[in-house]
Amino acid sequence: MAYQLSKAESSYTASGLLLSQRLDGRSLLDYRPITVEAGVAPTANGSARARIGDTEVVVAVKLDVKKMGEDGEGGRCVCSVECSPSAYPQLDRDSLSDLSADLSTLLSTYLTPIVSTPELLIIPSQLYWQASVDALVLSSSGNVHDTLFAAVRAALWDLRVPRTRGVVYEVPGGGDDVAMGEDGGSSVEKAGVLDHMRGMKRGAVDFDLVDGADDGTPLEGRSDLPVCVTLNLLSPVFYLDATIPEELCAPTRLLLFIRPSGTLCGIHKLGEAELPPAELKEALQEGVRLGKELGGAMNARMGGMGGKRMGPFS
Amino acid sequence: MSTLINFDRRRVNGPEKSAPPLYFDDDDDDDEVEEEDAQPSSARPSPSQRVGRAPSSVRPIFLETGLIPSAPGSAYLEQALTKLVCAVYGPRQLKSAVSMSSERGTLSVSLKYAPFATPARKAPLRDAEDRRLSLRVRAALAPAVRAESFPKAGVDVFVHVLQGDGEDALVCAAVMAASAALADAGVEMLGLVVGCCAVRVGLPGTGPRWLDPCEEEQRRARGGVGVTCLPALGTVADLWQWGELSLDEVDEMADECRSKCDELHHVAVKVLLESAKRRLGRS
Repeated sequence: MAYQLSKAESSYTASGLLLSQRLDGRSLLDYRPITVEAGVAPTANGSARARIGDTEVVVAVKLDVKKMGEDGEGGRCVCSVECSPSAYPQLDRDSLSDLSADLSTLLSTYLTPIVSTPELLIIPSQLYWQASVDALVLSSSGNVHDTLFAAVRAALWDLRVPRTRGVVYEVPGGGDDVAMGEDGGSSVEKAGVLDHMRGMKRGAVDFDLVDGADDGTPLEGRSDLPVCVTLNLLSPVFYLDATIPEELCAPTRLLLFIRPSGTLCGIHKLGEAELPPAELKEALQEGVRLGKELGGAMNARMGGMGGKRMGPFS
Repeated sequence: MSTLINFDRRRVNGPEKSAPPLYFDDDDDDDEVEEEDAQPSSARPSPSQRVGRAPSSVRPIFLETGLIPSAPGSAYLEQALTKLVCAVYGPRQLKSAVSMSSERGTLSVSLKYAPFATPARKAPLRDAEDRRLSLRVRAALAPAVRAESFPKAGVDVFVHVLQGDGEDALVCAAVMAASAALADAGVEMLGLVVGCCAVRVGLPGTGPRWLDPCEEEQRRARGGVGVTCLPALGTVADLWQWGELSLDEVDEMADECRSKCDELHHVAVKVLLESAKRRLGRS
């Protein structure tokens, strides 16, 4: 990062952290106030804005119908993160696009296996909803990763998958079944499709959107979506939710993706320092505990507030 | 007859239409000879059983340094189907003005797949996967390289993957080759970096863990862990994890990987010693 810290400032911040003193008076394991607001983009299927301190990220999830490729399982999630130049005024265009690309890869690496649920299948092995997760980093004052994943989590919480029902075409002569679905529905006949259907196992070939008052079903496992906890390791202490100077002081940062149930969905290390194994172990243990706590707190808030707006908590 | 116009004598021309042969593997034993022949395939392994290898086996590694004469340091690594070449250039002057004021040198790693490295052809363009793996290799090497020993200069590490088999295993192999090549180039390091990875298959809590997974095993796995470390110092350079694993499983797998890294370290040390002896004998 082109942002540089003078030696005096860096050693001042670091020695403070080693004495468990932070510039803003928080303890080492405290977050700044976290604000999450869901449903900020009316045209998206799910959206959210998250703010930790002065770092702000907006995420929108849109669903598109896609045909499955020959290889069966296509990517069901496309992620892109854009860092606004106003958030990183010190970066030139190239490093800004590199940063955006790195965040996008990080997001898609850890999000794709989580989002690829059977709920996004419309017709097995034929059509599926492809979730496009687009994030915009509006301002940055440290801890972009946690904010980004908090926003993504809230957007997925807010996501409504449109209800669909499969349509089966009637075979003349053997016509015993028509469209399936709750209310019978109508069947359409097409000669080409019928021929094709004879050799195949009978299944839905097309789908209809179900009309309804609501706009879809939420994801089933949304209360177990992972949160990201960034542990900043400055041997022998570690601290959470670093501001930019604090981030620059930490030689190592560990990103942990933790489900509220305690399962780890990913570990990613940033920074250029080595770690003693014992310290790493301790940090992991503490990180998982904190992740569970954070996930639980988010769930409680999102559930309690009807998922619309979540006030600050820590 | 019309097909004769497009007939190419230089090729082996098969029939226009072809179909894959059908195999009937009946479960009832009707032929003893066939039964014996088909032993490896008919004894279909259960999903939690590893084919042909012990769970904690690492595929044998062939490593050689000094392969590319024009580069100050280079290494070739072969581990079963994984084959890669690594070349190290530098420390040399950097073009960009930004780095001129820095006290630490720059380490840049670029990992590239050959277009023919994977079953599906990789277009020879910079794609996201290459950069991701490059960063991962760099993250493993950066803690070991003493960048303060070449201020305002840069060391470039180029890894060219000729054949890849399993992404995590590829990263580990690339790290090992790159650290051997860096040592071959005489870049100051705190120690050699070696890597090892493991996957976990089956249901949570029950499945076995397999070290050094190949592509197929990695696809079947529930989650995996990769560790690169400096066995000489006993520290961990990088740790990554994917999939769904509990904390205990991650701990277990990381520990096993670390102890395996100690063994791999010996391999790399031996290779470097031999190449050093050869060089001394020559000059």
